[in-house]
Amino acid sequence: MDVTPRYLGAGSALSRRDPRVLLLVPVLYLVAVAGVEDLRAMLACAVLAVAYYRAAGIPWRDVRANWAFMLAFTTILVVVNSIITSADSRSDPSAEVLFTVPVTASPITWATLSYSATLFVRYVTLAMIGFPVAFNIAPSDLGVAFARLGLSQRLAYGVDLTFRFLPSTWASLHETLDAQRVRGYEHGRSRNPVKRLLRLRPVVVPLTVNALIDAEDTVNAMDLRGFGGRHRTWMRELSFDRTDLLTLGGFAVVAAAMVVAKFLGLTGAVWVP
Amino acid sequence: MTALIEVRDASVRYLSTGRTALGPVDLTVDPGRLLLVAGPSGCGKSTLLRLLNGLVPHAYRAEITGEVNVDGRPVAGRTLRDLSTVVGTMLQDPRRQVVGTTVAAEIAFGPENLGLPREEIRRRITEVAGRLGLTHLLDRATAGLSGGELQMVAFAGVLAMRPRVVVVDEPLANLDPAAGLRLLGELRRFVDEGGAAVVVEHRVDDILEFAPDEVLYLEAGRTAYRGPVAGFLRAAPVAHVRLPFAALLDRAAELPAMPAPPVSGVPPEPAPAPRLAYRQAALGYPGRTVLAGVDLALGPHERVAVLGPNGAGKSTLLRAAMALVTATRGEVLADGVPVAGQTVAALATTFGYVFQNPGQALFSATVRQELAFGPHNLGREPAKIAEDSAAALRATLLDQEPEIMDRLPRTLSFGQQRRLTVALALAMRPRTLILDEPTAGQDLGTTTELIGHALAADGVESVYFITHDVDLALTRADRVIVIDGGRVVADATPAALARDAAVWSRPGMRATGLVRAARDHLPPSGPVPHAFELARRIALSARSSPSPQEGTTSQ
Repeated sequence: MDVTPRYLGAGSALSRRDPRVLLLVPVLYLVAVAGVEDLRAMLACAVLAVAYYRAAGIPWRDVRANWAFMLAFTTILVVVNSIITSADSRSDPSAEVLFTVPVTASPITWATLSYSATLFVRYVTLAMIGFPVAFNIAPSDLGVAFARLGLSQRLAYGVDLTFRFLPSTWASLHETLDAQRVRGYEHGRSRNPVKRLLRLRPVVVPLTVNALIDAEDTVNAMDLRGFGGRHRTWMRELSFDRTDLLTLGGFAVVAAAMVVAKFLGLTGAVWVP
Repeated sequence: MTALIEVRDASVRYLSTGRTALGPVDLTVDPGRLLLVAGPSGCGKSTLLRLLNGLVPHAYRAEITGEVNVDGRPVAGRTLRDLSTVVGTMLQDPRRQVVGTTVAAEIAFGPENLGLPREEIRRRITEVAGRLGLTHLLDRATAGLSGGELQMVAFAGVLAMRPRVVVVDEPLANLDPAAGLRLLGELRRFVDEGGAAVVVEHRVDDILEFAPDEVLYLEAGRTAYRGPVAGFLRAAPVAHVRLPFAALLDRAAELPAMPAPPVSGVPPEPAPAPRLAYRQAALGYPGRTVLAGVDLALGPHERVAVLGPNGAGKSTLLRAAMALVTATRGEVLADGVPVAGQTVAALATTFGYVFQNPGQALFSATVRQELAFGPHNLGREPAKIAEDSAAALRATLLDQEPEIMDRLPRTLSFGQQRRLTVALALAMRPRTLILDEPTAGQDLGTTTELIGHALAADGVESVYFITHDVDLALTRADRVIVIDGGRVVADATPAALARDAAVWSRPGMRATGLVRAARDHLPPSGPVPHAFELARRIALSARSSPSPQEGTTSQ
């Protein structure tokens, strides 16, 4: 399995944006949709999310598996939270019950379905807005983007290092696994979760110890090249252009509008058709 | 002229262990000088490098006595950042040194830390990349580079800081000779242009062509020799330093007797099925074929060495024996049975595979538990496990360590850990031992000891080993297989391989003095004796017929 960070949206409108835009937009979108209970308002936000995702130009075939996982996970989450357990308590007790869920006996009304749809759309559109962070920011730009957003130099470079060492850590995991497999080690023999966890020890212990030893060398290598000083130049120059500012401004306006709408009680209630 | 580095009567005692790791030593490095530091494992070489680049005392708490000056000023009073502009450091493993996600980002890392203007950083990237021939790689991700490319990129990152001295820790330890020697060539150029360099390396014979100006030989932290190369070649302990073959000839009379590897078991008649066979096999990983068209049969009583440059597919070839790598085409058979239908655990009684890094196997609280892990997984009885564990420790001479069974494996020295991993494999009572780079980064004494134990282990019928060490392959194997460019390019007896000019002209391969001597003085086929034995024979024949010793002193 290749764990090298994938840069998939090269050449797209979003890839030309300052990476800070791609980091800030999900935050603004989250603020916008966090309090929305009305499916109609949620769908309006979804139009924006779809347009944003399309601008990312991420090839479908490359993220099919990611979407399959995301949609399966979201569906389970929504079904468990709003239908099986009837978590939405705001539905009207006098509302018409469409059917009752077997086993849990949860009554399903139009309000329950509307609430479920709102949740589903919220999670899916958050993923749409979040995917460009993973696939449209060049891995080498992440550190500088975080640094320019005010994160300390050490933490920001830590982000870069994570991406740099992800493939080698993955390779080391496989190497360690193989080194134990040639000693007859097999992981999945027990159904007992505690035993299964304990059986990970022959892999986890060497992997962790080796990672710490390797990290000491890497830290030394960085110190020996002057890392950690107060002033650092980031080679990558970042500056917002007009489109960046318009994009950020647009999402900021939507976020502000949705917050105001929430306080005015326009989007805080579940919509029942 | 001011010395770039001056060490006077310096000693280092680590506060964490209370052990004096180095000293007293004296050392001077002037501009235009290349200093070679050699010595057995644990002699204080790494501590010396840390002293020169400032990691001691800035990163490792240690008590330092004596005087250490860099560029005329004491190290203790300067920051690492300040020192980094004078002393550049190359670590042994470039994979841990390179932190940039792309080549350009890696070269820029140091100058960025110094807070230099972007224009200046760009200038330095262009200059250094051009100098080292890396311009075409600037936009490449460092994660996708070969070992040799990565080492050169690490060097570029160091040079971009414009240091006046570069210290290099074992450049040949992790790479094929050609890749390491390319780096040393660039280092020599750096020195010739007015810089200075300190190189720590076990493989003295490979370094000498880069004409070090001085040699410092350490033993138990102290200076055992300091002076010119010629004197070192006369004084170096031959059993512990890999000297050039020509130097061995000069000292033939004092070379110790080296026990020949045990004779391979005589195969019964009729010839048994090969222990490991490849039939038109293509080997690799999902989406990537590493080796193709492999047709080999390795006997159950053979010692086989696998040679080849970095990334050629040596490990892939032998990992297929344990079903760690699958054949995407053709098949791989163990004792005539396809490995594809067998589990790794089932194959573990046929093949004992020893990985390069002992740290990948060791996880238990005691050596006893570590040894029992494999046999226990195979369902063996405790009494049998105890018996086999004791035998494995005896075979690797680890039984001589006091209370070894109750020791924490990680507290053993690196050499002992290597021997322990061989013992772990032996405790499973395999019939064939497979060693992946058994001697990488180890001194000659440890190498000789480790491989000797592996070849003589009781109950082991055959040994297949992967190595970059040409001399080791030639002197310890009955047969040598060379892998390059995704296929098997040679399969011959050691003496025949020594004569195969096509093999030694390949980019990743390099004929050593022993290869040339074997080519010129041995029959065209058969085994090659230990370098000491061959040097003695040649010296003896030279005394009886004083003609020039072709091939022993020249390319």
